[in-house]
This record gives sequence, C-alpha cells and structure tokens, in this order.
Amino acid sequence: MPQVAKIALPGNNALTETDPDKFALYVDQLVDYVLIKEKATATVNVSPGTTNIAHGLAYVPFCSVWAEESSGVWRKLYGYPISGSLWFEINGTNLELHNTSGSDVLFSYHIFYDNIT
Amino acid sequence: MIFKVAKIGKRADSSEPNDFIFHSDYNTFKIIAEGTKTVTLLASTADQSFTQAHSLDSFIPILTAFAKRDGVAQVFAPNGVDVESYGVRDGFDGDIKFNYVATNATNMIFNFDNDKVSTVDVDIRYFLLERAA
Repeated sequence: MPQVAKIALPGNNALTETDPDKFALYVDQLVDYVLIKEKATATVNVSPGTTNIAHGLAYVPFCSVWAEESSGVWRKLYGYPISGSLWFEINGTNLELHNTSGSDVLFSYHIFYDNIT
Repeated sequence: MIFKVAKIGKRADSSEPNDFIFHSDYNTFKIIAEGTKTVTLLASTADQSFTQAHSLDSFIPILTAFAKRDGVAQVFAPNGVDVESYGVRDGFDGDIKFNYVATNATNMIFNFDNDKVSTVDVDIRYFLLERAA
C-alpha cells in the first residue's frame, strides 16, 4: 500500500483536497512531488577570483546562490553571465563561486541533497 | 523521532537522502509567500526595475519568479529572453529580457529590457522561499 502523509493548509480538507498548493506538507509515494532537502547553507565573503565550497556529496547536487550586489540588495545568480561579474558553477565536488568584480562580495548559498544529474 | 517516506522501491532504512520523498532530518524548502504582479515595460528601454513590497519583516527572502508576456505562450525565467518564433528557417527573436530578480529588506525587484518600439505588458508570478541572507 502506498504511504501518504498530508497536512492541509487552514481551511482545506486533507482527506478530499487534491491540489498540492493547498497543503503545507504533501507526501505521496504515488505522485512524484519529491520535497527538496537542504544540506547546507551559509553566507561567505568571496574575494576576487574563485572560492570553492566542498559539498561532500558523490554527485552534482541542486543549489541556489545569491550575491549582495549592493548594500542590502541580494540578486539571484545563474551560470556564466552574458554581462556581469558574479556567477556560480557546481560539479561533483565543489560549488564554485566566481567573482571578477575586483572587490570582495558576499555570497549566500543553499546546497540540497537532491541529485541533478 | 524521525518521520520519513521512502520513494517507491526504496528502503525506509536507507542512508541515501535521494531515496526519500520526505525525511524529517532534512529541511524541506518552503514557499513562504507567492503572488502575481503585472507590469508595463516602457518602449525601447533597457534596465527597467519594478518593485513590490514582500512584507517579510524579519529576513531577506529568496525570490524566484517567472514572466509571461501578453500574446506569447512561453513563460520565461530571469536571466532569459522572451522568445518569439518566426519559423524554423527564420530563426528566433527575443526582444523582451527578464534580466534578474533581487530582494532587499523591504522589496522584491524585477528587472527587464524592452527592445520593442511599443510598451509591453508582462505578467509576473513570484515565489518567496525562506531566507536568502
């Protein structure tokens, strides 16, 4: 028998509701709503160049990276930018934080257990 | 006490996190808030920022968002272009760019370029996902 664990948001009936958006927790082995699982998060100062964050996993994990582009303003980063000087890459060993801005920049990252390869 | 649900075909006593749909030892990323916003891009103008208060007083949240232009089927993410198809032989054109999203202690920021010579309405759907910093 498939295992199910569901907690509906206030005002919704967990026994009859089928829209996953109406649940705080929706775990059902029959549908592939795998919840991403956080492994590590931190804010680090990245000097010009590359800072490697060893993630300790044997595969390439899902991640999310942000940088403080100006005081108090945090921008979501992507891969090598068409323009700009901050980006990240991730491989089977490290999360690589790249900074070619010429000055130190704070990066914030989340690394998840979930395998993307 | 640990609460966990393994994927079909995987054992609940596995030590591999990827074998689980849910495992209470690991933080599952949560959507703190979501919503929509419609903006009108100025004609022939790059680097247009639009802001909206996120109303989360205690932290700067992670923001991710998707945009959809009126009359175009594709939804596009930040760091991307709105692609209009002109046919296989004629290639593609993307003249609306969703440059980036950012957040500060008060606002969400959505930044676009519009290379068109007319204004363009863009619908944004955004998700705020826990703490960015």
